[in-house]
Order: sequence, then structure tokens, then C-alpha cells
Amino acid sequence: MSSKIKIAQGAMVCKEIKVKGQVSFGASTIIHPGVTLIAEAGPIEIGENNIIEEYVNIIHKFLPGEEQSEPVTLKIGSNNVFEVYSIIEGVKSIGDNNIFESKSYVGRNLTIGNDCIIGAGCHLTSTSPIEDGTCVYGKNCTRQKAFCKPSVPGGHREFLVKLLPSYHLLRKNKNPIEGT
Amino acid sequence: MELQDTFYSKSEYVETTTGNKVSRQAQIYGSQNIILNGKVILQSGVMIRGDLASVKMGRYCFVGRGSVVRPPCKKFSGGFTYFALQIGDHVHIGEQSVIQAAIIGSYVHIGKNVVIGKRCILKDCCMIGDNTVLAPDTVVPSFTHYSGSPGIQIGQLPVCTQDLSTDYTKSFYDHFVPSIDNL
Amino acid sequence: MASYMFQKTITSICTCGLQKLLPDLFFCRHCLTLRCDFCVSHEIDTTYCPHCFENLSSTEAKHKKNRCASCLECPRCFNTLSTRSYSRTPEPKKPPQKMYYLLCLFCNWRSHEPSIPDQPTSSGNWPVNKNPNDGRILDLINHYKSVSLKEVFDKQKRNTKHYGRNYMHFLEKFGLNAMMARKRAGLPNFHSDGTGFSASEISPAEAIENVPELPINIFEDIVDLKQISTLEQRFATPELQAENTDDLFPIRKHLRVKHSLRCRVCEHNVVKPEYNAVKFKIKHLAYYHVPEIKIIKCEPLVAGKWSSLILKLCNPAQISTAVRFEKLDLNTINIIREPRRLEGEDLIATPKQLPAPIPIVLELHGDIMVPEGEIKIAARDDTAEYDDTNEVNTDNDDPKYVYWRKGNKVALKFEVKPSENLKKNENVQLGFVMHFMYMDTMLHVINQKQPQTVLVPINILLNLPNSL
Repeated sequence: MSSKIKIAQGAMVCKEIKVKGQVSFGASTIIHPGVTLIAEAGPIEIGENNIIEEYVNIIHKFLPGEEQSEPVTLKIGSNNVFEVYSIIEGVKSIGDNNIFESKSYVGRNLTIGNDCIIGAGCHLTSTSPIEDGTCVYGKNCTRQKAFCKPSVPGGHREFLVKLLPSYHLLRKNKNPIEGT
Repeated sequence: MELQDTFYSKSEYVETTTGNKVSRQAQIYGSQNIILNGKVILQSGVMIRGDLASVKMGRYCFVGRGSVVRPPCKKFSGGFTYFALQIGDHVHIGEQSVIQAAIIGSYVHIGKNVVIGKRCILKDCCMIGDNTVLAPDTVVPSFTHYSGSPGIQIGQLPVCTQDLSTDYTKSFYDHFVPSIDNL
Repeated sequence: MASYMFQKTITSICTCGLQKLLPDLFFCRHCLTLRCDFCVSHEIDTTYCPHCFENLSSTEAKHKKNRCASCLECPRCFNTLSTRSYSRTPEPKKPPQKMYYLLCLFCNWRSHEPSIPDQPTSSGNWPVNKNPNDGRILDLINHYKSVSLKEVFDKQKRNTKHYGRNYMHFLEKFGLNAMMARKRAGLPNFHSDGTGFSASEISPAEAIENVPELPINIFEDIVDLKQISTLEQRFATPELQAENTDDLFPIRKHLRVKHSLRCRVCEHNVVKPEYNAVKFKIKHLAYYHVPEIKIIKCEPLVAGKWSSLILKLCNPAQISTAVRFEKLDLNTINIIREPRRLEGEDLIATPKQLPAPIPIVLELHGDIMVPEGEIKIAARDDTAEYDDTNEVNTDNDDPKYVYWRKGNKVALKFEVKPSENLKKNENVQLGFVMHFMYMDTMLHVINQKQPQTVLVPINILLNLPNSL
């Protein structure tokens, strides 16, 4: 399956990533090396100002046996941070301003609202949607209403925008590369 | 039980004059900011982000498959920055772990699938069990065994942890040998 | 390292009868026996906070109820709280003021939740939630303190009774004055008949007649589990036990102690930590004296058949040693070897607080053949690592028992025969006694004698996995 990548103005996508299918990156989004994006069940649309760190897997696949279904677009909002090793598998949709901490796992058919924090090491497999402003933490994935919204990673993004081009080869928009 | 030999294929690893054994499949960025003090083993899939800030690693360290060693970041009132990560001697880091600590002392053992949060400080002679999640800014004192999510103390380590650790990392290095069919 | 440290394949039996791993054992240089954390006396050396590493004296720690004054724990997930700041301008004309609040970086709990006011200093002085029964508890403690004092006084009175009224001159006559004065020191000054003594009055607790009934809405309201605290959270503050998660207050962090350990028989230190470091002033561990045993190879064990087992012995000491093996005799295993008496040393205090030895109940699942004769092990040499020649004299070794030799390590061949009625999935437990040569330097210090070598026996247990 060939890959089609669309990179918006100001987005930075490192070269060492694996992409399958059609993926679009919104403006000012930063993709660290080692990221895997699989868009088999329809295109993935990543919004603006997101940060996706090392070894993040965003998998958008059909369930086995449902391969013939209509392709669905997976929409990921803006200002989200996906920390190292977080896995997003078969999620319905992701809103804005969320933080997925290291080694968190979000399973099938979940809907994630806005301003949520998925704590480090949390393994979410239930299908009840995560409401706006929820914080999930601990080994039992306790859900708690957060008192405040998580801060927007503006400073973090600006720092990376200055730093990354001097160390990494970045993907360009014009030549879509064959999938790996 | 005596440690068993761990075999590696000679074509996969690069060995430096100081005895560092680095897999060709390890992803190392900003190598000018990374210091490996000798006899360090980096397995395949290890990612070291020297581009974000400097990373120093002592002697006889081991970083297992797929672990990410990444300098920690901090938001100040005046802005945002990444700062240096220091790792002491005789440190063992298991597979698939994420390390974002500020300082890791010597004789530290970190298990598999561990998350060490941003700016953590791990003192000398401590141990982090498998699947632990240490919250950001956690301080782990010497001679303690931390585990759980969030990581809290679950036990104590023997007085001779320093020698046990030295012994373990040294014999691990000695038992990390090229497989015979590659000789 | 976890498997390396906690795997209980090879254990040693401590003098007190417990099975321990070698790194957990101590070696008393005066008694020349093994000790473990059960049979040494523990003393508090220093008290410190595990987060900010502030050292406190023991009285200070007691005064603060063994909790740190500045570090706090999250009441929701028990992670250490961090302080965060923001600036605010209280009045438009004044310069902005920095305010601080607490935040848990794990579960996102904030000090705003139980509405703790923000503080103007980073160190906090965070308000402590007071126990409503504090006064009553203090009263009770004071009362029982004075009761116990009275008991001490009564005992004293009974002891001195038969001296008669005028015993003071006896004391002078026999020169007992100083002794009596010492005995009386620290005791409260009571009238000789004890009449001046009174315990502070306390009011007995009273039961309330009218117990308020349960409000009706407790049965009807829908329970919101997110709002109710868990048992763990309540038990963390037993005096408050808030039911609502909004009423959870930060918990002061528990202090930790560094132990110094002392042999209970000869009262010499076996471990003494150094102030603020991972180093130790004294550490007499078995790991530094007793040859360490590790399994190199074990043939699959078959019930009723001999199979070979190769063990590696490593001498950790700077002087060469020798080992001699013996079969473990279950009949004599419970006879405790009397600790050695040191001649000429200051009188060793009588071992008052020695715990009763734990009877060793063992079942061996087979037979073991141990190497015969004495096997020498070379001294540990830290420079050997950089030496390529590494020549060891193997002339005197019996190839029947010695597999190989390298520096301070020697591999020995044992033969193992599991018993016929071995069950499936059961580990094969076998034992032997290892006598190792220990260079006793303490005699030299005390008696100006030459250091002597002593054979120290240690009971070793093997717990071999059954391959059936």
C-alpha cells in the first residue's frame, strides 16, 4: 500500500517515520523520529500544533473480518501531545488539548474529548467515552475530573521548531515516498 | 545462577576503542552531545536524544532493546528548555523503558517497561522494578526498591548493593559475546 | 539483576536458623558466625526525609511525629507533591506577587480541591489539618504517663521498705551512697510515703443518649463513586478518614531511618552507615568473607539417577582461602554452635536479648556427593582484570572434582541424585556444609597473637528446579 503524506505549512516531520496509507499533518505539528502511522481503515487527519514523540503508534485499522467496510477518517484535533511510546489503536476520534503520557494505550472505539490527560502506563480498553477535562491515572486507570485544563504546549513547540531542523532530516511535501 | 551468555551478531554491533558496543539499529541523534564512558552496551532500537540536550553515561551501562533515553524538559516562567541527563556507572536499563530523569546515580537497576518521569532524581544504589511508573520530579533514595504506579518504596536493598551491581554489570558485559557462527 | 538478587536457588542457613540469601547475611568478626537482620539488634543511626534528604535528630523527629516538615504527599495517589507558582496582582498599583499552590504531577490533584489557600512562600507553611480529638488524646497520654510513673515509684518503695526507717546510715557505712544516688537519679522527687503523688484527673468518655438517625436521602441519592474516597485514602490519615474526595488534605511525608546493626551476642557493630552517603563506616557482610556459590551447569535431574552439578565458588576476600565440604546431617542441624568466647577481651555482656533460635525443619529430596579434601581458592585480585596471562597453578587439583580455575574462582563438580519418590513440579532440595578458612585477625588485635586461620562451617541449601 502506498503512502500519501500531506504536510501543512510550518509542520515538521522527521524522516525516520513509518507511514502506511493517507496521512495529513496540520500546521505547526511536530513529529519526532520513530513514529508509526497506519491508516488502513481510511485517512488519518492530524490537526494543528500537535507534538508526537518517539515510538508513538497511531493505528487506524479495520477489525479482522471487517475489511470490506467503508473507509472512515480518523480525526485528531489540535494542541495534543503524544508522549514517548503511547499507542492509539482504532480510536474513533480525539479532540483538542489532550496529553497522552508515556506508554499509555488507548483502545478501540473510544472517543476522547478535549482537555484530557491519559496518565503514564494507563491501558484503556473500555468503550465508554472519555469526557472533556478528565484525567486518567494509576494502575487501575482511575478517571477523575481535572480541576484545571492542561496547559497548551506552546513553549515546547517553539523550542523544538528551532532545534529540530539542525539535527534531523525532515520530510518534504512534494515527493510522497513509497510506504515501508 | 551464573549469568548465561548473551549472543549478538558481530555485523550488527559497532565496538569502539573504549569498549562501547552499539547496535547499528540504535537511533542516536546529536552524537556530539553524547558521552559514553566505555563498556556501554546499547541494543537495537535504543533511542538517545542527544539533540535535545547533552547525555552522559558512565562505564558498564546497559540499555536494553527499544528503550528511549531522552533529556528532561522544564517549563519556566520565562520559557521552555531541555536540560542535560546524567547517568552514573554500572547502570542497567531494561527493555522498552522510557528514561527522562535528570540524574541517575551509579549502581542503579531499572527493570523492563518502566517509565521514569521528567526530572526524576535516582540516587546511587537503588532499584526500580518492572512496569513501574515514576511520576515527574520523584526522588528515589539510596538502598530502596521502588515499584508500582505511581512508584513508591516497596523494599530495601542489601548493604552490599554496590558490589552486587558492579559484579552484575561487569559479568553482563563479559557474557555479551558475538555468536559463534559470526566469528 | 532482580533474578540475580532475589532468586532463592542457593540459600545459606543463618546461625539463628533462618534461610537467607548470601547478600542479606552479616558476618560477625568477633563471634565468627553468620548473622541476619533477624538476629542483630537494630539501632536508629540517622533520620532523614526520603524526598528532601534533610537529616533530623531523633528528638526532633519524635517531636514532628516522624514526618517531614516540608514535603507532602498527594492524598489521592500518594505521590510526592510539587509546588507550582503563578503571579497575581492583588491591587493594580502594586508589583505582582508570586503565589504558590501544590500539584501532584501524577494524578493532577491540586491544593485548590480541598480549598487550601495559596501561600506567598514556596516552602509553604501549609496548614495542617488538625485532628478534632487531639486534646483528648494528649490528656490521655499525660494521664497514663503519670500512672506509669506512680507504678515505678511504688516498686521503688517496696524494694526499699525493709531497710527500715533509718537506712541512710547503712548506706554510708557500706559506701553504697553513690550507687543509691545513681539508682534514684531521674526518679521524681516524691514524699517517702508517696502521698504527694497524684495522677492528673481525666473525665471518662461518655456515651451519647440520642444517636442522630441516618438522613433519608442517604438511601435515595445516587452514589457518585468519583466523589467517595477509597479505603487506602482513608487509612492514610486514620485520624480524619474523610469520606469525600474534596476533603482529602495533603499528607506529610514519613521520615526514613538509616539503621546501624549490632551483633546481639558480642555487641559489636556489624553495619554502621556513614552520614549522608552510600558508604559505610563498618560493614561486616558475609558477601565480603564467605565464598559465593553459583550454579554454572546442572544436568537434567532424574529421580533415582546421579547427575552432575557444577558450582562456581568465588573468593571475595583479599587473602586466599580453602574450602572443605561435608554432607548435611539433619540430626545435628538444630544444635546451635556456641558463639566463640574471646579470651582476655573485656567481659562480653551476657546475651540477654537473644531471640530463641528458630528450629530448622528441613526435608531433603535426594543425595549429594561432595568433593573430598581441601580445595584452595586464590585471593581476589582487582588488577587481574587487566592481566591477560592469568596463570593459576592447577597441579594439586584433583580433576575428578575441579572443573576449572580462573583467578579467585573455581568450578567444582558435585553429583546429585534425587530420591525415587520425587513428585512432579517439585523443586529438589539438597544441602551440604561448607567449611571455609577464615583469617581471624581479631585475636591478633586482642592478644598480640599471630592471625590464625579458623574453619567456619556454613550450611548451604540448594533448591534445584525439577526437570521432570
